[in-house]
Amino acid sequence: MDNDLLIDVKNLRVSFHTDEGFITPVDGVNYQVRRGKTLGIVGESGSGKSVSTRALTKLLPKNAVIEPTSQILFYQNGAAQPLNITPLSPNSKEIRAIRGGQVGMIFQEPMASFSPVYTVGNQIIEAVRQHRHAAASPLAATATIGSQIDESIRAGNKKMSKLEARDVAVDMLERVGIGNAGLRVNQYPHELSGGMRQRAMIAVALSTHPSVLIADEPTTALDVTIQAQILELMRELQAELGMAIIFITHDMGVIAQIADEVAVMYLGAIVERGPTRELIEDARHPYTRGLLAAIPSLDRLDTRLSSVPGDIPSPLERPAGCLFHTRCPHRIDGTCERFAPERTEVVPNHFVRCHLYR
Amino acid sequence: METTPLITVEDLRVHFPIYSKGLFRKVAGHVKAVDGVSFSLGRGETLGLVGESGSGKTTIGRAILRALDVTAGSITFQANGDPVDLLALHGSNLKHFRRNMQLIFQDPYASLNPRMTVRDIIAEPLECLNAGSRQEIDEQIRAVAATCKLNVEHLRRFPHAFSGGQRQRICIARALSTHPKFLVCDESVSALDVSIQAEVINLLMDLQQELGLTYLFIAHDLSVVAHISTQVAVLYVGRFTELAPTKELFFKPLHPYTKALMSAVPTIDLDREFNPLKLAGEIPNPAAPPPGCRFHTRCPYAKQICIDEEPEWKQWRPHHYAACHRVAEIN
Amino acid sequence: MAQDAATQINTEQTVSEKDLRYYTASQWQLVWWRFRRHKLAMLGAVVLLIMAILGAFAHFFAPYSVTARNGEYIMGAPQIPKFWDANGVSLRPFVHGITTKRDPVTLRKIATADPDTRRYVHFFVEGEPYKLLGLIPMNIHLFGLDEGKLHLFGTDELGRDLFSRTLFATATSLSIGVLGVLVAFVLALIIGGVAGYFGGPIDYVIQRLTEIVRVIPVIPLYMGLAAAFPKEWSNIQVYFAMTMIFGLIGWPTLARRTRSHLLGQRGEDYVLAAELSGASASRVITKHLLPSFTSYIIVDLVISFPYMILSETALSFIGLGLRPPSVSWGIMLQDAQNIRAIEQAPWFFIPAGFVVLAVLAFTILGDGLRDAADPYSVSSH
Repeated sequence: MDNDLLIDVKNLRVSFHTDEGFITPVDGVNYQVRRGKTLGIVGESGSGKSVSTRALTKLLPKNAVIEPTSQILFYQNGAAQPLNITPLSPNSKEIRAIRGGQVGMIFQEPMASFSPVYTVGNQIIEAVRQHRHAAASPLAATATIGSQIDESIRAGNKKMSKLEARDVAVDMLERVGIGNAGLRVNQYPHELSGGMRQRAMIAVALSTHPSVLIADEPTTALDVTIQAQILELMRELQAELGMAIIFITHDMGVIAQIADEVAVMYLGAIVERGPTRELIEDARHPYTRGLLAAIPSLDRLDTRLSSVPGDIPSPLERPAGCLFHTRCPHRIDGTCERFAPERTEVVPNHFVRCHLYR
Repeated sequence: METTPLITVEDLRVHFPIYSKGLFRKVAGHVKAVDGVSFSLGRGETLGLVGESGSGKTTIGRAILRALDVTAGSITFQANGDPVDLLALHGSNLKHFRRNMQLIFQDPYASLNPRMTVRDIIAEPLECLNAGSRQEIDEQIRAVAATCKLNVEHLRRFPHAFSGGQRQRICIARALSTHPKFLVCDESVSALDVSIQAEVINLLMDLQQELGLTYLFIAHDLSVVAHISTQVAVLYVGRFTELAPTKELFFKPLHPYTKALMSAVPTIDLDREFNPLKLAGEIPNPAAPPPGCRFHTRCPYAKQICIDEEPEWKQWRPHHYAACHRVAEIN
Repeated sequence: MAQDAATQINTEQTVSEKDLRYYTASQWQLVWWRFRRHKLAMLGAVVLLIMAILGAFAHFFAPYSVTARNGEYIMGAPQIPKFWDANGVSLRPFVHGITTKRDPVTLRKIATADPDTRRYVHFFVEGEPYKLLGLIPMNIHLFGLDEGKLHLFGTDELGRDLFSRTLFATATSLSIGVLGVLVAFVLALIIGGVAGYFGGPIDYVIQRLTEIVRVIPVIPLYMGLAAAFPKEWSNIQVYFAMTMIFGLIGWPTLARRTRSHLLGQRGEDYVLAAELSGASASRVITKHLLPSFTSYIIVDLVISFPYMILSETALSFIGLGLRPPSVSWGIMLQDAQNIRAIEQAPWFFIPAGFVVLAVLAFTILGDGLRDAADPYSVSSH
């Protein structure tokens, strides 16, 4: 029925051991990632939006623990059973095939994810050659980029030659809209401008034909005109390659424009999840409503902004009961501070964790 | 908007020398961060300054505050009736004039000395001006802290006790302690979370109402600028491309660059079409700006004249200025 | 209305006593709290503290003076106080008495313990008179025997008590380190401060000068300078000359660090905020810049200590530093540098243990301090 399901995250719980104590930045998160769709994860600082997605590739700090009750299921074409990666070691062969192969990643700061001592081309070549098998998986068969290369991969078992991989690199840079790609491929990351670097990072991430692209605040550091270019590029590539995107941001406006489904996170939990339009136009959770009302909008220039009262609690002092009760204007005394609300499906595919909707 | 201007800036230029390496460092060129900017700002108004990174927004703010050396131009400040030529002030005159203007920074973590208590932080401008005995200063601090919704108990704490939003309120309290008339807000809410940001914007707007403050509000977030400003200027590679009252600029922009900026703002209003105008290329290097109109390298409407001649800064509608050769044709 | 709710919730939050203590904690309190968690560094600090106390009050802790000889017990092995022997148990610790015989062949004196005589250890015994810290005349020593002499670390070729000598050597070596670091520190603060604050061509010239000093190989330089000490100089003069040399050679690293701290902090927003508030240069320096890097400078000082101590030890070891009758770790190790010592008197190497311990303790202490020196790095995120 659900052939498009790629990743199914169930009850994800990640804890960190720190000097200050035991903190749980992600607690009880559920979401699904579907082929060709974009899941937007929106949240403020400390909401656990990055940690919850880094868990998918086990790219977490050493002091982090994914609780064994969590399930991170990867559905791979051809495999009868989904692969639960929770118990796997971060250095296992399976995880390494997923990381950078089946799952591509782009970040806010491209300089941090590029090595400054290799040319952009080298880094793409490296990724392509490393994940040759991953790229040859049936998942990538739908891809059109560099399809002749794909054939050569499937034909022989030899590692792809550097020259072939370089062709892929040039091709990819052209695809992401970098002009003069034949020249750029030999340049070092610092020689590119901010927007160009972000494009190059997308090229690296996509060069292995991932089925899922995780984009962690990819446009936050960019100017609006460049941001618009990158968003459009991602949409185009998605339409072409049919990959799924997990788009993490704190900017509701960006989410509204790019996501098919939105998950709103607060202090490590998804408080509301639903189709984008439904969620923005008919937000149920008081936090989502507060967030939406706090955004200055060109349509409401003369109205006073409404702010969400209070401060985001520190991750060390997560409130008991409903995580939002300390700031909630609709708090039900005697209930919200004592019991954590269950997830309720208010309308099909629209989930809320709030005592107001039981 | 027909008030007497509090601040008049004329043909402001700030060029930073680029030095060659070595013992005898020669000036190898200049980064023209701000290159001929003029505007005037009335009492109680807010001028929003928008533009992409490297456009010179921050430099304009710091130049007016005399935080860096101005290359050319004039800045006149109408503090108490008499116009004061800001660039002619030096030494202790400048130091005492600083009480009239203050800066609110972007990063509420870096702008508070972590080793000083909140009381000492807010007291610093007053102490530097020798504004009275300790008791008098303490009284003033308590008053200004109350204005910024900080309670007395907070004053003996250190900045590490506070969250981002609270810290920004401390910054505002420090800026207000000398009762300035003019505040430069340099990306002052950009680093804050959305739910906190609204509170600080509201506080700034309330303070403006109560105290009759004038703001220069610098931000890259166009919606925030639109919300707080009475007029907005668009900056591109050190020059204004357009200046207009807020609604006029956002809903009836004249300059192609403004149009591109406006169309690129992602909005939560899903019924409004999100169709960003495509700009080719990258922002030019301010050390070697293109000749003619600086926007011609990326402008979809550029013609030969745009390369050959600098466009005139002209009033096209009441209070609506733009510098573009082709305003009449493309609108 | 929303505003009212905001302020209400803000004031509603009750602040616990513990939080309040944290909120009102100054930089040094935060540094201390963070440092305290670093168990290993705490251990290093305790070791150094004990060494410093032992050195400073060496006259009291050492049963005998540096030059006191025990002709009955030459190159004698360490004596370890016991509580029991074949003759039964004693609550007071004791050692066996010494009987000396002369070897008929080599004519060397041979000391052997006599298991039937007991010499009891007494505390706070009267002994040789001395001045505590050079000021208070006293003659009380921490411990001693009722009869004869106790040598915890054994004795050297002249029958001098190695335990006493090690304590006095600790005092000398640590104080040379302290003085050397202080000289280096003053120079570094001035030179690095000037470079960092004025910048431009002054900075450039000072930077190049610093590099010139840094590239001079240290050991030949020490040797050259130390060899230039006039023979007739007293040990006190040599001692101070050595601290000056260590200081003069040690400053460049510290000066660079000072300069970079200063440059880093000058660009901080809060410094600009102070300048825009009308703060004078001296106010910016004393209220903002200096406090911002004192903690880092202290770390740098602690880390450069071991170099000073090792330099002294090395120099004295090769015979170019202090000379007998002074004692330092280097001099004591010089005594140990012969085959006989290795073969017959391994206890000559006990001072080496002190050197290793001191250097290790300084290093781990510096490590812990470095982690604690910036207490705002965590709380800012």
